[in-house]
Amino acid sequence: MATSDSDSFFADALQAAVAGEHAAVWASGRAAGELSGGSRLQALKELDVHRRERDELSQQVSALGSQPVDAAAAYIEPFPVDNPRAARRLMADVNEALAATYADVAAASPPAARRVPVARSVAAAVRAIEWGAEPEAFPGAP
Amino acid sequence: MERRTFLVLTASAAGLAGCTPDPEPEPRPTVAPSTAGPADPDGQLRARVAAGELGLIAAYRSAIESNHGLAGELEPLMADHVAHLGRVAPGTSAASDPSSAAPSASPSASESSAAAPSAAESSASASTTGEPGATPTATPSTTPRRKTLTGLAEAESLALAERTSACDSAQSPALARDLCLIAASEAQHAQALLDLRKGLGV
Repeated sequence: MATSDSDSFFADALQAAVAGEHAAVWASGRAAGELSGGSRLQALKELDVHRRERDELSQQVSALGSQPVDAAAAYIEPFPVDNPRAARRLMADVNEALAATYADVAAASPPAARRVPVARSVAAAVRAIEWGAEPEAFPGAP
Repeated sequence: MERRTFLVLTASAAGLAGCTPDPEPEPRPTVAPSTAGPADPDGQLRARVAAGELGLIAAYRSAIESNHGLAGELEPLMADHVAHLGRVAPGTSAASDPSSAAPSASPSASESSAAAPSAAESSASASTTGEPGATPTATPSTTPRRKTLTGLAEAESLALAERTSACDSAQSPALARDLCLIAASEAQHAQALLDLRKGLGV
């Protein structure tokens, strides 16, 4: 169990990342259904990445003595995802959001343990660009 | 806001909005390491990052001056660096004169030196540079753009590495978060610059 404020911040940030990766798994599958060719393959590749990162994060949460959050029973599309363009936008948006979520994990981590969440934040931000997002000063942050 | 709304919709159970880990206000930073007060343990780190951002801003200014045709693409990226500077060192302004913007003996001077080529370099043609990547069809106008975009992308990649390292050193969780997002932004810039170079066919 989390025993201090810093442990609690870390656990909360990890849980948010688990939830974010659950959402990214859903989004990748949803987008793949609207895409074809290389874009579809890329979405499916990301599906594997997000599953792997979700599982790793879930193990971290379990190691802290907490129960990892489950995927939502259903996800609400932020806009109709019924064509390739919308699918690409969905992938861009979910990756931008993940970039900010991992920045929260980095902030909640001890300094020596920040490299992995920073690398994941950077990777998500770059994926967002590859899906058509515009660069931002603070990707995914309000 | 739309992306944030989306995340809340898709990951609402996680309480993301409650994840900001540092509820205490940040001390106002200073830029010069020698004047960083003891109240801010991240003062020198902030100054180092600010110097790097100022170097990047100067590099973008130089690139835009040398390649007016790229202004539309480069100015938004430069504006991101101004935002970075404002976040890590709110008291610092991006001076209009690049020579006054970059502090001397900047630890991040390499960020700007790796960036935009000089005007003289920019005016060189492919035939005189002997650049391995230059194609026989490269014109005198595409080669400077190619070099400019490549140089800026390299500077952004270097900045990304430095921000990642700086994140490891930050005492303040809020600063660590900012540095992580700045690293992510600079990675986006590098990718966008390379995409732009590819898209221009230069």
